[in-house]
Amino acid sequence: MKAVKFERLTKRFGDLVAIDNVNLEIEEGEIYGFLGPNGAGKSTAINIICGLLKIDSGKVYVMERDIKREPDFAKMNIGVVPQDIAIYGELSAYENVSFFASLYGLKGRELKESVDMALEFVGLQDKANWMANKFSGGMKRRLNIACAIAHKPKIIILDEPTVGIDPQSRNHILESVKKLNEMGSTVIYTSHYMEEVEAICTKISIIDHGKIIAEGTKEELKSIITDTNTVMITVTSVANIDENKLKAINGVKSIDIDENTVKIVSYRDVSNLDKIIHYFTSDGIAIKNIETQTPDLETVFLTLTGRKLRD
Amino acid sequence: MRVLKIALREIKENFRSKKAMVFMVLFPIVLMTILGFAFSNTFNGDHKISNISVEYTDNGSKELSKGFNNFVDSCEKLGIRFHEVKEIASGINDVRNVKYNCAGYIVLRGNNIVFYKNDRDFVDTNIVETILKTFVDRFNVVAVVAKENPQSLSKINVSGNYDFAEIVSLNSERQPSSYDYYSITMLTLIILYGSISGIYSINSERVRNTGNRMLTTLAKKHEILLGKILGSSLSVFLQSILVFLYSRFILKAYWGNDIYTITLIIISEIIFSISLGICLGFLFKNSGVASGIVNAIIPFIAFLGGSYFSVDAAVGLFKNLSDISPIKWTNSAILNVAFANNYNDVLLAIIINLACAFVFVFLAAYLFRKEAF
Repeated sequence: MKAVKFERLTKRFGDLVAIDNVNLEIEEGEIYGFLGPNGAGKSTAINIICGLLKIDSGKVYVMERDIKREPDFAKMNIGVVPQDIAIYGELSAYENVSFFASLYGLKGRELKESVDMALEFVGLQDKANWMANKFSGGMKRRLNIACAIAHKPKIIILDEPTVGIDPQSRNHILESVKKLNEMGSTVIYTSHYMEEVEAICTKISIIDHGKIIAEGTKEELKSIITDTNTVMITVTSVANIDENKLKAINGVKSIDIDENTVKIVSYRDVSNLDKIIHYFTSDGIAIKNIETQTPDLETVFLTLTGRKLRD
Repeated sequence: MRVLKIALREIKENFRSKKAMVFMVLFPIVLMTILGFAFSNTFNGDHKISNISVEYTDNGSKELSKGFNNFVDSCEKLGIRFHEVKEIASGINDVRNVKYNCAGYIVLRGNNIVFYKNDRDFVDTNIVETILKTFVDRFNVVAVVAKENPQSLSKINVSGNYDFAEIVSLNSERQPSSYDYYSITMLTLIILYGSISGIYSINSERVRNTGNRMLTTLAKKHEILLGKILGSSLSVFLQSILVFLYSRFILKAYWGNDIYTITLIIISEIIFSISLGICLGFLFKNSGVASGIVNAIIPFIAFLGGSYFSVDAAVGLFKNLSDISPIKWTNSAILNVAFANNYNDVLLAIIINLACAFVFVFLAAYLFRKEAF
């Protein structure tokens, strides 16, 4: 089942086209990452899914139902963790979660159990009666998540949930995202932190100027910009290296020797590292260090958009 | 149900905010105490009937004129002075311009009596009106008896020796003391400042992003708007009760015998004030600008509305300006009910407050039509 689907979606703000004729499908059970610089259209896309912005043209489906026709169904199935913390400082953690959950129609015992579950999930059950304005930044971020999950949505949207928090809280949040996914939720995740997206997302789309310019798994995205892997081998001496023998190994594309480092470029679809190491050891060349170089998402992003993610 | 949830959250937040409690409860308590103490000598609690002056024109029937003359004699023994004027237009004009401190103008025409009231001195005018009503009631009774059973007339005292027991029930000896006056006017003033609560109610949702978060739930925009109006209004109402209790039991301020009517007037002012604030909250994204406007306008409206001193005796341009101040009608209605059992301004005050509130809520709903906060 498609958790979210865009069909030729367009959204304009005056002359600015924030989302430009976008088609997108997010399968149920995925952790789907949106990557893009500020103003790329990520937040606009998210605000449309959760009903904060109206659609100019095209269609959006949540759990295969049109959000324009059934907005309440979409809202009931979505939990939003906004980029900016959205909680009431004068209310306790419990009251905050309870208030937002009650707006989804939860009441009585069901409400209480859901609030307890949400607070326990983010590790704030022992601080349930603390006023939110007494919380640290990380605790506020966790409460921000609890407010989005108490009504047990099938889709959870997290918009930059780790901005400005300590590493411990960040790890807690990333683990929470994985756990939510394991519990059956589809997660839509946006972040400026490439390593977070790379670590948790099963599928990623890169958005720029309101268009999706690339979409796929991490490996698929990396393969867009290069079909090779590079191995850097540092040896004690390069005097005895036979370049022809190395080039003869299956998959090797090129060899470059610089002082005591041999740079070997191979085609990605050929697994030949064991043969390369075997060449060095069998010829009695002592290896001091081996380093593999594969393009990361930052490189992919830079190559596709011409700018860094945080520009 | 969601409206109530939103309202309840609003009340909790208001009552937990030290700033709001200081401003809405402590501030008026301090003001009414200081002003009441400072101006205690300028408010005279005794009301001398001998100062009351009334004009009349006698074009009445023989019976009515005779009875009225007896009535005039009795009233003059009480100290009420009567001046006869020949021209009706002149009498009306004298009342309008408060000539001789005139409390009213009575016209006898056939068997009818018309009373033109001076609407600026409610205590004097109401004393005269009540005495006149007593006379009219007696005259009507005598007229009916004369028509139906003339023989019984001899048993009725028609000498004009009236016992105006109603004067006592008028609270005629009760003029507002400085504590009475400032308890009422400072409460209505702080309710007007409650519009800042309305501004904050909208703006804080914007600043904390909680407004948009509410919109991602099943809560509809009209539920959010109604919940906010209800919650803010109830908050101000509960805060007003605290101020009222202080004035009533600590300052011993007098609020009259009809607290229900006064409560209705207060509620209408609260709805007006909160609606104004919520409308400004939507109109200006920057709460500083909206609060600045309120802070600039309210002292002016309050001054014209009699918050700092009575404007009952105002004439000319000042009276006209005073009449456009919504708080003037609220103050006047409450003071009239409390001190003169006069309900003439009650409906007008409530209608003015609720009509303005309706316009502000309509405008707020229009501004809220856009996609998010």
